[in-house]
Amino acid sequence: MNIIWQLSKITFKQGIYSKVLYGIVLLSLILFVSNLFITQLFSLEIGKVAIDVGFAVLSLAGLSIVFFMGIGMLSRDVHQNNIRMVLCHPVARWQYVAGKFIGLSLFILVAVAVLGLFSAFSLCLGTASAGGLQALRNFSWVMLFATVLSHLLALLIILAVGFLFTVITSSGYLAMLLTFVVYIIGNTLDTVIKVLVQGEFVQADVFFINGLKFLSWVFPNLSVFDLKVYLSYGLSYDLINLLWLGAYGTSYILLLLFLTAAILHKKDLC
Amino acid sequence: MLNFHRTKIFFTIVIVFSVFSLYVYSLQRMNRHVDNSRSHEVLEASALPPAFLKVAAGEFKGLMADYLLLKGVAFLGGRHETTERDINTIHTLFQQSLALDPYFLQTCYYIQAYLVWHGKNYEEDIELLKISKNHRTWDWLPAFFIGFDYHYFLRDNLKAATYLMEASKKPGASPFLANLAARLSQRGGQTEAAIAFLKSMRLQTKDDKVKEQFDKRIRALEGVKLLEKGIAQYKAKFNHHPQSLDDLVTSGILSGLPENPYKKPFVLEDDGGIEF
Repeated sequence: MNIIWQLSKITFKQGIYSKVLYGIVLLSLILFVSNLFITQLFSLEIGKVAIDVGFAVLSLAGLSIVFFMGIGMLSRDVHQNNIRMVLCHPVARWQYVAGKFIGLSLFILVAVAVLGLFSAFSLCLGTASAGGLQALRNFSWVMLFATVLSHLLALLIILAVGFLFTVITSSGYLAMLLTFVVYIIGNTLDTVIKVLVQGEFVQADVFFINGLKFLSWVFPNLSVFDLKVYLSYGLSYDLINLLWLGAYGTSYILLLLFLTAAILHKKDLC
Repeated sequence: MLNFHRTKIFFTIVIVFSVFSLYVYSLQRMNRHVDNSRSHEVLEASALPPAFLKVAAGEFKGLMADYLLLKGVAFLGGRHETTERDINTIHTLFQQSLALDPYFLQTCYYIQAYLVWHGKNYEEDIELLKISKNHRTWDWLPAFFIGFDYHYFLRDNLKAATYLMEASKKPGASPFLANLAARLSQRGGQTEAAIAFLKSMRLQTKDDKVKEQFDKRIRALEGVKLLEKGIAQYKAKFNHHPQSLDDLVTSGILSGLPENPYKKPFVLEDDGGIEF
């Protein structure tokens, strides 16, 4: 456990030293200023617009960290054989996977917390001219926190997918590309299935629909982690649902990490 | 050496100044060009079906919806006249925006404020408003807009009454809406439904003043109902419509005309309806 923690700490520090956080703070400031202007373009429900802009920036920044920093760092380790420096110590490969993932997750947590704070601040200022946050229907800080947390969980899933592809493939670019494809599928597959099942616009074969339904068990359903609409319009979202969402995300990440550790265990690193 | 240094500084300043002047002038020219071309600018909307946009937008549906709405509205803001093609494009943009975010009130508002009044494709626009109504289950405005459009543009009082009744049951709706819905329902030949609706609304309200308004309208509608029955009997007896409501009394069908709580007489209109 101590080894995992040590690895996590080193990975987290690597993230901090990479100065990505400066970029995130800069991006947050841009978001903060842009939100003030963008919300002025609308006259009704400007809180919803502020949420849209704020969480879009949060998603983009989070994805940039996962892709360029997270997968990039893992790729340097695995593909340029820096991993050997770690594994020549008494560190099991599964401990490496766990340590790296926890370290990167902590870094993403800090980044999302910074972005989330700026997002909330810009939301307060953006809505100030229209009666403040209370003008938002059924606004609750708990729901805002849950929305940020669900975004974090989605980012961690993408990180876990990236980790898996880094171990499977032989190049960082390929790992990024495949992770990006999974990100797109994860965000769209659910909508595609719904559209096909409704059959309003496209008539699809039952076999094809069932095939897509099967794929929805393989690929992560990232669209369920998008709670913006509940926050924007004060729609009710059960605590039980939230817990199940957390359970789904966590179990998916753990399964991916088991698989990553198993593949890394078999991988010839010499 | 010093002279060469000064010359270098001088030329650097001249070059920077020249480039800066070029930048300012070219920017002004470009802005002028954009202003001139704006008058014959054509609004474009992608022909992608809303379902595809929903898939393509991924987790940025809300932002994409805001952008599409803004695109349409910004175009409208910079135009004095719009062609039929523009209207169709704006309709597409609003439809796409609604598909991505069916909850956004601003989209619903612009559909009503612009498309319905200027586009005149009432049925199509009402379909868009219905999307908004079905999602904003807490909001009385979309149903009110639909009810208004049915009454004002399509002259369909029964459908107007149905939507206004729906709107009046939502939180925050004015009690006048219920009264208006009842009036339209009566004008559409559904006086009993109007009375039943107002009675149910009266039961739900706690405000005494609103209760009074409802009572007044219920009394008026009960008077209308009595007169309608009298007219039906008159028609059955004499095989033609009465010339005025007084005919109901003179023919002995009614012992007297009911009292209108609005302190004016009931009037039999040319179309057979009763105005109160």
